[in-house]
Amino acid sequence: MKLFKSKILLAILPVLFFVGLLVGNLFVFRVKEQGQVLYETHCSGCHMEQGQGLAQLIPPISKSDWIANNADKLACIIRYGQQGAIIVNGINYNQPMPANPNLTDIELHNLINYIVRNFGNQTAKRSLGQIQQDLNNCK
Amino acid sequence: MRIHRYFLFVIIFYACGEKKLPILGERKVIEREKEGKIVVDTIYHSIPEFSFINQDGQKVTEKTFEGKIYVADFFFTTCPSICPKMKQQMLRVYEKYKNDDRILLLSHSISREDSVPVLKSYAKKINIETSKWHLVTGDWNKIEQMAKSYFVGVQEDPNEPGGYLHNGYFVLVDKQKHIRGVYDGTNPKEVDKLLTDIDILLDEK
Repeated sequence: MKLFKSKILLAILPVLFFVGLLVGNLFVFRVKEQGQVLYETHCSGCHMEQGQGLAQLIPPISKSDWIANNADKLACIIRYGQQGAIIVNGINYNQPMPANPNLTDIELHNLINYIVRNFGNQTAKRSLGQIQQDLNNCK
Repeated sequence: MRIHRYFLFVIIFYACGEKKLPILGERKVIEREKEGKIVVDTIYHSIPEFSFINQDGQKVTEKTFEGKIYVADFFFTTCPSICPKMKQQMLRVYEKYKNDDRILLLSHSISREDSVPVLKSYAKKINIETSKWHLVTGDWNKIEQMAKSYFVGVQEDPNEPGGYLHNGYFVLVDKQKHIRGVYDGTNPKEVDKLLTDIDILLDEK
């Protein structure tokens, strides 16, 4: 009987070991969500890592009242760029933002949902269908 | 123990005394005659004369920077890629030395679209004083030549976002117009180094 128990233990130990290894790996090599990767590639150069923007030149992404009120316009602005004045958190910004025509609808979806749920923003996520609808309404 | 401490101090003093920034660029050694003797001179790479116009429409030349240490870079106001990051970092340098009149900043615009009023409005938006930080424009070819003497690559490229391609370097220039350091202006850690290097250069006699 005793021999049997220690055999089970011997069998369980390596299993535990590998499960531990797997969990550890998931932690170490956890994948960044696509929205974050897209933000770092296409947006953070101007809007900065923490989304703080730059002085009165580039509006902030973080805790932005504009994003809270205009989430349905984000897709158009990211795809086609932005011209003219825009008021964010009470400050008037007027610096053109370049277009990003190469981002697909799904990439826009992931990027926008990353933006509206991070940087201190708490706006509702938008579905892919809503974003495609938004894109149809671009001026 | 006391002896150890003493040695530590000696080492620290020695290390401090040794710190001197290199003079970058090509150098030439020339021999010349002075009072019948042969004298050997080293000619270091230095920033040539220039003449540009700043955000207030004033002429800015090498004389503006006479007896000053300055940091130079190349940018343009509508640059979507690296410039906002460079300006964020240059603002750190600006804030630190705002009230130190031994230091000046010089940003050259490489865009033909950046007229004096455009630079003026840009300066206003990032809230800087002209007397401290000159944003200059001028003949494109001359700006490109200047970039070369600061070791910065600049070129027109319609495929690049914004239409121009350039390095985001910050170049530290001493009172003798020698280049004493080149830093990646988009990298906060390199700009940390620039800030310490400026202090080292300020202490130099």
